[in-house]
Amino acid sequence: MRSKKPILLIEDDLIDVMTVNRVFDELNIKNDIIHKQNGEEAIKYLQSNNHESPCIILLDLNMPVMNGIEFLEEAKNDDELKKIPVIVLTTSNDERDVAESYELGAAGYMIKTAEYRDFVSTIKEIESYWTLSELPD
Amino acid sequence: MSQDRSDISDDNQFKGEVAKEKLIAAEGHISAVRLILVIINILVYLLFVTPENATPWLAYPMMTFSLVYSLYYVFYRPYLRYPSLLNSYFTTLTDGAFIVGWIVATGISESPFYLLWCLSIVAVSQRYSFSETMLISVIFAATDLTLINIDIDAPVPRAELAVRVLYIPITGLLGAYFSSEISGQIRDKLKTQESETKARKAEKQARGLLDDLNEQIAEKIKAEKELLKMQKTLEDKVRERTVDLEEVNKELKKEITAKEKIENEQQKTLEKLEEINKELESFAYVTSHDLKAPLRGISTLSDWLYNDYADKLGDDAKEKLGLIKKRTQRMNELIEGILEYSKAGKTKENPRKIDTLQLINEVLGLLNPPEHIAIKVNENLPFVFANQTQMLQIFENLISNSIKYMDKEKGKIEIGFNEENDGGYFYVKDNGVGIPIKNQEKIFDMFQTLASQKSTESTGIGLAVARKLVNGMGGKIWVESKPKEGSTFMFKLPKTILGHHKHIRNT
Repeated sequence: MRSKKPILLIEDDLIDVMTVNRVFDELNIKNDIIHKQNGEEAIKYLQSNNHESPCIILLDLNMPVMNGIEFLEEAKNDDELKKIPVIVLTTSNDERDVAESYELGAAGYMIKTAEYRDFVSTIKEIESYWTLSELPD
Repeated sequence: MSQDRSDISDDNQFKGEVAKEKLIAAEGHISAVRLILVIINILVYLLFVTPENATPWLAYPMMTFSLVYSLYYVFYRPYLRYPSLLNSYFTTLTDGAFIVGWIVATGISESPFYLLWCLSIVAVSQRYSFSETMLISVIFAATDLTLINIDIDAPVPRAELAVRVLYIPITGLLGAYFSSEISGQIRDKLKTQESETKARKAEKQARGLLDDLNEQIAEKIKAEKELLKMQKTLEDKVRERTVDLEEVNKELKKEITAKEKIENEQQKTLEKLEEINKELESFAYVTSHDLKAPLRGISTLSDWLYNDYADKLGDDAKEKLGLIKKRTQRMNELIEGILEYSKAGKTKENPRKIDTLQLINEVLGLLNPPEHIAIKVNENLPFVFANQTQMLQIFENLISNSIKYMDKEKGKIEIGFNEENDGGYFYVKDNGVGIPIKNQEKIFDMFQTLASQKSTESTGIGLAVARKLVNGMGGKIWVESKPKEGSTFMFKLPKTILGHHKHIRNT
């Protein structure tokens, strides 16, 4: 990743969080990972005064309190938040979720598989894409 | 009233009888006198006097005729037989003709006959009334005088003329004397009686007609009464029927309401079923995702344990971790199977015309069977009108099973369609492993595979899905199989899907 800013991970499954951390280690991605349990906590963090704006948000869809879709709706209405690219990372391969995510401004949609190795290649692809891509400051 | 009338008529009748007798008597006299006069005239003419101005060709016939006529009247008495002669103009004419005829026949100016002529008038006077007789004499006189003036050959001497002129009033008076006022009156009365009889006849006729009319009117009134009665009966019947119909109507309405109620309930049940169906769908979807998440965790962690602590774990531990991994994979597949099964048949596709031959070739392209299996696809595969995805799934499941369970070196799979009277069925025939009879029903259940459930890749939902789809289309699927020799899976579809399957293919 070109940017040194942290990556915001909005995910409630502990093992998935561990997985992302492990993958980043394996791929030698240096960016910090800020972890929030659900959409509401993420919004609170992003709207707080002392937060570091992340360069990318990795978003899970199935979360309690405020799920991924609701988070995207909230983010769309916030001028600052909607600038940050969001990649939806989820188990759901339902077309409706895909369509809705893109409609709400998601930059990408990746499916979590049960296979760890697949997950590694997925993150690798995301990393290489966003390394090339420009990010807003 | 009627009694009076009958009295008068009786009276009249009696008077009439009397009058008639008188007239008959008069006729008798006149006939007799005339006969005598005729005989005298004839005798005088033939024996004594030959008038100068006589017209012999008229006189002789005249005389003959008069004689015969008079004899006929005296002896035959026709006035008795034909009472109408008593007061008819016929007699008057004959009298006149008789007198005038004599005058002309015997010559106009002959005085000897003159007396006889006068006597003739007197003779007939009894038939006439006074006034009538006077009139006759005047006419006679006028005629005579006229005829005298015409006759210029023999001028009549004044003396004779005077006598003749005198004769006229005398004759008239004499005749008048003998004339019968009564006869005239009687004749009139007879005439009246006749007209009265006629009137009575007419009255009777009229009365008869009136009676007829009354009868007809009575009949008509009767008929009208009948009609009214029938009308009333009809009205009553109509009322009855209307009441019946109204009742039937009520019953029908009740039935319709009941039916509507049932339909409503059916509709509600249908809606409920749809709701339940949707719930099940989302339930299956949600459940499978919720089940998958911890599974993923288990799988990932077992991987990491294996990788991170490889040197610290013994072979035994490593083997056990490997088994954990395999089990999680299995569970994942099962969940996938459930998802697939619940999704089967739920596509929102519209049915369309499908060439099953083309479809099967597509499936074979997808499945890419290994080289040792010979695939035969029959050309007689028909067109169907169905959902493309579902047809694809059915064939895919059946053919992939045949490939999967092929244990022979020279494998053979035949795919085709058999036509029958009421439609026909598709078949996928292989020479694979075969299925024991006791399993042939079970294999269509979920998660049924031939081999051990723990070892094989197959999750065993292929046939369950195929059956779900075929049944959903209204068809039927079954198998015939001999263990070790092979299996033939067959399914038939309803006529609405098979349709007119004899379309000509552009091969």
